[in-house]
Amino acid sequence: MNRQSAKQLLRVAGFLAGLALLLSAASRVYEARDNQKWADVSSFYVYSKGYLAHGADELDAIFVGCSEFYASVSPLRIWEQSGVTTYNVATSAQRIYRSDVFIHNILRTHHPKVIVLDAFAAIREGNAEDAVFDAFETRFPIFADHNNWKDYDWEKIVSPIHYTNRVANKGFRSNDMVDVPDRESYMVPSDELAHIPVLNRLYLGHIARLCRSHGVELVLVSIPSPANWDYPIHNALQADADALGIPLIDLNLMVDELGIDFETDFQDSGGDHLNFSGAEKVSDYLAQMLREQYALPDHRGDPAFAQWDQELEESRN
Amino acid sequence: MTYSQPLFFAVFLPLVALGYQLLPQRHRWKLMLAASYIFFYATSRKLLLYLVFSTVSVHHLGLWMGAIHTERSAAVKAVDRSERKAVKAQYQKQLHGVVVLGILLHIGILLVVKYSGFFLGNLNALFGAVHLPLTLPEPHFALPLGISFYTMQAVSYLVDVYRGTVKPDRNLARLALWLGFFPQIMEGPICRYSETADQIWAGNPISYHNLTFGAQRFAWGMLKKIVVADQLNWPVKEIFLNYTDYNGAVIFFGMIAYTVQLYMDFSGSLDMVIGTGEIFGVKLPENFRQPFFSKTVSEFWTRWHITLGTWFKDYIFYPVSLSGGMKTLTANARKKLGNHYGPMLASGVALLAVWLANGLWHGSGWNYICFGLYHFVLIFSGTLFEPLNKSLCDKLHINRQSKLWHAWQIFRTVVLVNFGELIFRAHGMQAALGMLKRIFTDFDPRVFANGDYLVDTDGKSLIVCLIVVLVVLAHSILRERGGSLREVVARQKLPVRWLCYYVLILFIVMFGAYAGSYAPIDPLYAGF
Repeated sequence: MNRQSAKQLLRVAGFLAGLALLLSAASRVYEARDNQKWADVSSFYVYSKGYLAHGADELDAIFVGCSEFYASVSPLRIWEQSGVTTYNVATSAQRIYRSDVFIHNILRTHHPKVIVLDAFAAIREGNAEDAVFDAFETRFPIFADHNNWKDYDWEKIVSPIHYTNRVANKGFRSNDMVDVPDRESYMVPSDELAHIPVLNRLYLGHIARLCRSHGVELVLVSIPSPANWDYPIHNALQADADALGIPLIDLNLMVDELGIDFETDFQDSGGDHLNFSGAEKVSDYLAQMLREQYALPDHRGDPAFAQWDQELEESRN
Repeated sequence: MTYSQPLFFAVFLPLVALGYQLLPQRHRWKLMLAASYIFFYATSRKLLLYLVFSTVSVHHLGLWMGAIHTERSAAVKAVDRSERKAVKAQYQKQLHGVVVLGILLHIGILLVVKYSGFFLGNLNALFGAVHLPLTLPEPHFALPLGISFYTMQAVSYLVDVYRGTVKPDRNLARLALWLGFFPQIMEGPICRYSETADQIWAGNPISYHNLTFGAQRFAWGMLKKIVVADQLNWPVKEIFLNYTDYNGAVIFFGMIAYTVQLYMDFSGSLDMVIGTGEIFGVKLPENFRQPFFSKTVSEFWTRWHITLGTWFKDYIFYPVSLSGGMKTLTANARKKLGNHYGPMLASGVALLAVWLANGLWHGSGWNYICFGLYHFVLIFSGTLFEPLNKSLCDKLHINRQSKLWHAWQIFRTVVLVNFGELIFRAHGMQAALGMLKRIFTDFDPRVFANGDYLVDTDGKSLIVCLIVVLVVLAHSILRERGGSLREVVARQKLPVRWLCYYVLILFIVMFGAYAGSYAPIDPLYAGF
């Protein structure tokens, strides 16, 4: 390489380095100061950011996943049953590269002992465009937060970050509707292996390493869903989970143990999501699992967590 | 994968550029061909077979015509002068047969894949109207990426070989690379073989100048597409879809917004395309030349989608207007109608063919056909009434060279173009007519004062769009006067240059219509 080429290469590298600095600075400027209102962002995003209003050490476990999680996992039910503090960071149709962004952001600010990852989010096929964009967003949050400019004034820019919206149901959203799925073709034993995209496997490995590096336990949980789950999927994910050393709790294999009633516990589309009734049963199981398998503490009676009792009471009204 | 997504500009393009630069020159074409096919496959998967079929058939048809040309030359030399005309005619007939075969094959594929559903649907409607108990199946084919664009390139190659202006390419790989070159496959520009094939094949190293200028052009395109076009997509989509919910003033706003969206989207995408080509040292032809400075609709179409216009001119207009039948028509018409109106009959027929083709090329629908006919009427009547127009201006002492008159012409052209774009965008002719009717009969300007025109958008976003539109306008004025913003910036000191580039990039990042509730918008012309 001659001198001129080296000089030009340095210029390009210098320009890109400067750009990275500016994007990082812009990310800080545009970071939301509160999670009460997001300019031009729908409400599900508010639900998923509610964990930010909790203390860094307040949450023992955080659930990350798609609608299966937000329809089936009630943090306040888990609190009521076990005293374990959790939050449900679940968004519609979440793909694993999105889960990666959420977990990365969670571990930047909070210290949960366990991350519970939605197995359905882990196996769903996404697309490379979204995966690359989410990777950008992880490194430079400005790509996610840039729309805040419509909501910003100088006062907001100079004010400190203070998240206040703990979100009433802590990310849980379900309903009372009932749809009866077909049980006959559900979870028929098979040795077949479903296809899990290579991208998903790579991200699962990355998430496992990320959690390990922060001293956080990672566990995959699959919510009962006749519309989305079968034995080949279980077999494939179990194989990947074993290879990566991630425990998989497949509740699709435990519907009887959970007491899931196919006549009353599903809300839609041939057994896509559980309803309130089904969610209670799953949440009760998860409460017990987190206490027994991960020795998470029971904070009930602890004055520092009195607000949880208050929030539970408010959720009943 | 589209040009404005990070997967393209932050992963695919840098990897291709890096691999290209590291490879020896003689192997670079292989990387470009592989990259082009990967790009195609990423969007269209197994429909790649359409492109492969077109490439192989065009290659062999070209070689066939080349062989006929060679045989003809030898045969003509071997006979007496008096027999040469007959020999030439004989071989010309063969050549004609091959090129017609090639055109029918490629246009035929396009017609079947893109238009069969439309034509059969209309036949079924006709059968229903005459109470015929017959219903034909209306097929719906998945369209391979860029079929409308690469088909035109393929046909242009065949015709150029037929005419002898281009020698057939013996190298299938070079032809494949030219036809499938990834920067241009999605939205053009529609290149001629003689313009770009050798450039793309050459594999010249990426120079610092090409890299920086190409990247700047790319970023400029992203500014137009992401900040303006994608932002305006939301109000345009809502207003055109549910026009019956809105009064004429809102629809008028929607019409203007769509014209701006279309220009910013298409020209912005082409900036990205041309910038990408520039990085690799390939000078792709320009497709826009400040179209909204046009004084007539005819001039507009020499400044908008330029490569499409020149394609129609070279492969439809001239062949039709200069054909034997049209020449005879012109000669006879001159005797009866004079030298101005006489030739207009033949040119009118050719122009009608061009505008029907233009309309249909954009899509299979009556509104597209009407869009084509609308512009045909405007252009033809412009020429038809030119003597009357001139006479009237002379009588009224209007100076047609004055700036005021030119300003009036530009304004008039912009208005006419906008109405044409409304027809183009509307969900069918009935909707188009309904929207036009509301503009003229139900126009309530108070919506601009009370903000009711802000459908699926907000004032702040529109202000940002307006800022970019004004910047683009200023740039267009500079270009119209022969200037170049990139050259002006390039002459500045390094800190000033970098400041300009950083401002451009940060503006796109901060004000672009992406993420959050914005869904990605595919380039508009990729759908044609």
